[in-house]
Amino acid sequence: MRKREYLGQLELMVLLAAIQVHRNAYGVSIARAIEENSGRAVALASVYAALERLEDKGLITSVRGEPTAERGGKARTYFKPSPAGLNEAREAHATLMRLGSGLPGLKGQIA
Amino acid sequence: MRRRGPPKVGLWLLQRLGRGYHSESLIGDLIEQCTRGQTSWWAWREIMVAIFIVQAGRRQSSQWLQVTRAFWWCLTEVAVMLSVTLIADQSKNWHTIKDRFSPTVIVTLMVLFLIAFIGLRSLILIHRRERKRAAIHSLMALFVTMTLGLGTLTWAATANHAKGQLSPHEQSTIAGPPISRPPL
Repeated sequence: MRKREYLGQLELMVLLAAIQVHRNAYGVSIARAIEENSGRAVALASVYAALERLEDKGLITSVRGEPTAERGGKARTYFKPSPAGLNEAREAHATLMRLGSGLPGLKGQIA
Repeated sequence: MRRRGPPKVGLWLLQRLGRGYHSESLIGDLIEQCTRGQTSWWAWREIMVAIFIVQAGRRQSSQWLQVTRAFWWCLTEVAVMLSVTLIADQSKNWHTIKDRFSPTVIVTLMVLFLIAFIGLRSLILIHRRERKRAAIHSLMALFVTMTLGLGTLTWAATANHAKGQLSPHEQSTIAGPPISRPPL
């Protein structure tokens, strides 16, 4: 059985953003979703590096789209969370909620 | 109207120094975003970050992989060579089937084969991680190990026959019972 690894903050954000963007999840849309939700810009290369790590862990799958002229003949790579990825995101979210709920300083700040 | 795009020198650098698993998609994203109004400064920043991430990851990964690969390779080589030496050494003393299957030799060989198998398996996993033609490498490693093992076993089996060494029991079977000659 594969040893379970904890996700880094960026990996978790990328995974959640990929779930949120859903069908159109590629580098730019994932980076934009993170930026809109966190208020901080994130480099595309960092997003792709995190996506690669998530793929290695089997939490996300990728599929190549069609090359377009707008992209200089380069294809988009679309990312989709795997069932294991959805489960991991659910568990990580629940853990963070449980950890945060006991801290008086964070009361009312976590949705 | 002049079509906007990312700096060509930057893309060239990215293709040379920042080639990673999703670099083609990243280049496509940069072109797409620049045509949609992103500045060349933004593109340069993205290119520099990409090159840094790929180079840092490559260096860290290659150092770690080189050390682990060297360790497993040495372990496998030592285990295979010890097995070969053990079989070759023992073949000199093998006279009967019972000698060949003595518990000490069998257990030692099994332990050595197990170590070689674990080493081989780890090497295959490292090659897979590097995405470097894992199937070809593993098949080659398997072929070399099998050839070495089979070659040694064949040599060991034929060595005794070539030397004409027979056990006292085999000698007595071929020669028949000792003939008692009458005194002259």
